[in-house]
Amino acid sequence: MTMTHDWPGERAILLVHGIGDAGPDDYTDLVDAVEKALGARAQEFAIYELYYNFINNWFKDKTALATQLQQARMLFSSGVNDPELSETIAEYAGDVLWPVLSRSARAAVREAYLLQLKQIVRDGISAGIDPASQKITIIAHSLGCFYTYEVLHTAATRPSHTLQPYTDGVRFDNVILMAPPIQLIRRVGETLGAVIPNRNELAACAEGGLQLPGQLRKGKMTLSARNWVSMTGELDPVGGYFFHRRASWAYTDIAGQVSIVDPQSLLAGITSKADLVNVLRSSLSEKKKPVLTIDNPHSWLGYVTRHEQELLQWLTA
Amino acid sequence: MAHRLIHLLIVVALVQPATAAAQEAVTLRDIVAAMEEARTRSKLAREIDAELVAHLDVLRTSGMLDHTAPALAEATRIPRMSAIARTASGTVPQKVVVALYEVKGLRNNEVRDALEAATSVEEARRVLAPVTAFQSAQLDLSIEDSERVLRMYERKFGPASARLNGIEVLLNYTIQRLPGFGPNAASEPGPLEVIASYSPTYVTYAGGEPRMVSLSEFGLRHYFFGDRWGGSGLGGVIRPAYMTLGLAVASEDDGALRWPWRGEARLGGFVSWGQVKVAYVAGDNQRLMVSRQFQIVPWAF
Repeated sequence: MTMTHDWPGERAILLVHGIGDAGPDDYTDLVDAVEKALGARAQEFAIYELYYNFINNWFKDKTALATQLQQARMLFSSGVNDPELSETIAEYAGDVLWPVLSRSARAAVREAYLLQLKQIVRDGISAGIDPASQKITIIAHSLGCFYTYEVLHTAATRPSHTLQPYTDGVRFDNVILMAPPIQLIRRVGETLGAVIPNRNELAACAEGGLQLPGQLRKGKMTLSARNWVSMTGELDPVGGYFFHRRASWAYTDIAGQVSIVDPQSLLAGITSKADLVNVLRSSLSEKKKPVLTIDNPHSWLGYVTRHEQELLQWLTA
Repeated sequence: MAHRLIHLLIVVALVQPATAAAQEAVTLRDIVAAMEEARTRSKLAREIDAELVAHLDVLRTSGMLDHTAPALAEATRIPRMSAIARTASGTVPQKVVVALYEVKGLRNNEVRDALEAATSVEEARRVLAPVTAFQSAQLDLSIEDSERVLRMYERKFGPASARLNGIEVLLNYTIQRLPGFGPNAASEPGPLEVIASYSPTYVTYAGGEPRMVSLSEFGLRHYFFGDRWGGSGLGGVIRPAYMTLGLAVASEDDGALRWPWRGEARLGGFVSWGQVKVAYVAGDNQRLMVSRQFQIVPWAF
């Protein structure tokens, strides 16, 4: 499921999803939002989407995780038979379980991601742009940020993948992580200890803490990304915030990153008591039900929409 | 306006995409010449220039000047997941591999920057195109390699692979740290899987009639990752995706859904070639049996 594109210019974007089943149609709204942010300049970009959930599905189906959950749920919840719900829970639970508990799942997803990066660079060369001149941006969300971190560390330190920042000139213009759980996974790794097999294989669990990926050559570090951005929201637990408070054990803080924390409220458009009072008053006067919409603090679309200006600035620099 | 258009057309013609044909046309001699031209047309810092000269000298005396870009990429391949520039076979001296990778690095950084500053982006791209062609050939090999490894993972874990029951999931989770079971240093999947299953669908012929026999199986599954293995049809029968081997335990009586450990258990062994299984248990009621690999109840047996 590797994408290949003709490049209209010198620029490309790779979108990397998080938890959940992402098929060819699932990126549509996000691509639309990114193109809207770029405006007239969107036509300069080749936009790629990373599909790796098919690998998670291999492991889910081979181990019959959905069936296991269904049987466990029936055992513990008065025999309620809901295979569809179990399938959904298995889908989401598996996405988090496999990279943590299965060395093979980790390696397979990493390989699929590396393959897509190689194809992007190859497409750029086919368009007449040498790798050092290619302007590639990665925008990742949620668990996709974890995979991005892992893959870029591998790419930077393994010459066989021909994606090293100095030797191969593959330096990403931007790596933009939205709600990254990297520190959260590191902390889970420390807590679970030996339960996680070969933890030292994970860059997120490396001794020395989290570091920006790069290639060290003759004492000089060439970073994999020129601009590394980590953004989260005050209500997004995946990004390390719980009810407006930062949890240092869960918040991804890498030296050298550009850090952004979005103020968030659970109710859309309501950030104060006065806002709420106004909504209730107008609903009373119009004799209608108040319209109160819950904002999903973890929504990828939300992050992209809130940062249209910055995305345009970063991606077209 | 026309003058600018003609200039643009000339630049476009000179900056050729790295197609397969373009790769084949480029040799190490061209790469060395390109870097030499870049060196003479730009102002490199003295230590960078000295470094480049030294590496180019190594490449000139490598005996590989007529190697095309794809052949050069193949000959200087570094083992998967290796952190250092050294070929697996050692047929190409390490100093040549290092020189080639260092020249590539200089092309993508100091030399490119200096040449662009001295000329233009388009001219730098044109001059350094042979190195880009070599890099493109390396990428093609690396892409093929990633696809190969993903096919291996699909063979072992994909939709056509053997399903695991709950006990097997736990055993294989525990044992994945051992060589052969989890990924190796090159991040390729290990070929082995632990089997601990109950199979109630073996068939034998005894006492003048066909009978079902239930077995417990304990052993190993070995996946075959070769390209010619694991297909469908007759080819898939002759060269299947996997084989299994191990200890078989049956109860003293024949029959389906019998607890194998009941009474005086009969011991023996089983082997499978793909999905076709054959087992033998010894004892007073010795039996030779056949079956097929599949799960009747997911996650159970």
